Amino acid sequence: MDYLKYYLKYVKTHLFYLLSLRNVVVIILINITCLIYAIISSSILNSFHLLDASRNEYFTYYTTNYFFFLKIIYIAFIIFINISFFNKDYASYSELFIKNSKTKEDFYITKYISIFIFYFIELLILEAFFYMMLIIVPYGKMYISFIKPFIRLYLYGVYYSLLSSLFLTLFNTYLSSIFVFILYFISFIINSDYQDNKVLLKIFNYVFPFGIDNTLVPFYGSISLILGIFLLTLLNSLVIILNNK
Amino acid sequence: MYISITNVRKSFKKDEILKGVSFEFKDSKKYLIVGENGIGKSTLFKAILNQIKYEGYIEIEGRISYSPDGGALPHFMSSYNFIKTFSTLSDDVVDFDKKCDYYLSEFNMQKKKNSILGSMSKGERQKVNIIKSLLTPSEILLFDEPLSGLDELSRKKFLSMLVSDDRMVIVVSHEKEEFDKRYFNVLVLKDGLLEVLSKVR
Repeated sequence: MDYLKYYLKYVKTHLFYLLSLRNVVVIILINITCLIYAIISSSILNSFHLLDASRNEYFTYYTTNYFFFLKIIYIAFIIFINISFFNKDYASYSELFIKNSKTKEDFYITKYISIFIFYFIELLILEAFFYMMLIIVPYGKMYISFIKPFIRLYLYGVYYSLLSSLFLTLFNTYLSSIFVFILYFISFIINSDYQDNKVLLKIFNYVFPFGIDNTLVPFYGSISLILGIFLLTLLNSLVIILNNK
Repeated sequence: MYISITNVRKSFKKDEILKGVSFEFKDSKKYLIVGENGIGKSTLFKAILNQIKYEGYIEIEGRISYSPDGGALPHFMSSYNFIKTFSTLSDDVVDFDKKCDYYLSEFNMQKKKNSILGSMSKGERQKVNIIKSLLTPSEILLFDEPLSGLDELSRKKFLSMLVSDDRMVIVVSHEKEEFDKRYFNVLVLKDGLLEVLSKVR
């Protein structure tokens, strides 16, 4: 059988499992919330005369607010979906896939591919809301590209998805995943202290990276985030291999 | 085709569920495994399917098709899509549509062909699971509590399908009396060991 067709079948089925009734409700709620937030922070509800007077301020207000909101809501969303998708009871559908060690490998590889595809699609929707308001509201700043911050946001999503699934596999409780989000949030809040030369805080900020301002550049640079994703991929693979040996 | 189990042990924390199970399932015989709740029947299946870690050896010759006990089904997938996706996951099924229609009509599920699984009753989802397993190209069929949720007519049809199927069949069920001992070898899982209760002559 054609390998691509074989893997696509796995990915498609994972995505169907991902779209459980509960997850669909959460996706709809998250998207509605983000759309409302984009509308409100875009100042479209204000008079356009006011907007004419201070386009720059309104533009900065909108982009800063929307990205600040996304940094929290997107990671929270990923942690929630991860909890349901990597939960042991929910994952009982693996019985339908796994018949030998080969199908077991295929199952896990395609599961991660599926969830990253899913997070990418969700990010595209959130990005569409952002650009939609930029088009509707005449800020006159459309030449500024926000592609890179969105790519970085996706990388944060992948990072926290891997970190949360690692915690879920290691500690076997959804609380461990919530703990990851709390630590991310703390890291995000105390980032103003980064000038301090405290080693522990630096390590903490490295393990729980956050995006600075609208650029979303990690405190230790984008390479540190990619390196973190690479390390977490290795750790997740190692834990899965050891668990199934 | 065979499944050879040698001295399989499995513990959950301090509780030893399987205490050295040994048995050889072979050829196209039919087996029924009975036993009390929580005695380890499903655990034995999970060991055969390589889903859990265990001590001992399990050797398998032949492809397995498995129907779990009320396994999680994707809410928004249609029954036809589910059957097609999973039964053709590893190998293609010749004349799939024709065979699928046959089984759907046998289980009175033709009208539910395009219904989403989330809208179905427990019994209907069980039928979909059974059809998927019967259609999967395999030499060995494993069913975990297949009768739960099935109506009387569907039970009879399913059991006659199993008897006439030329593959090896292993069923875990509480409902021993439903299975004809003329066709099924009955095994009991007791105190962590598998014992033969009755053999087909």
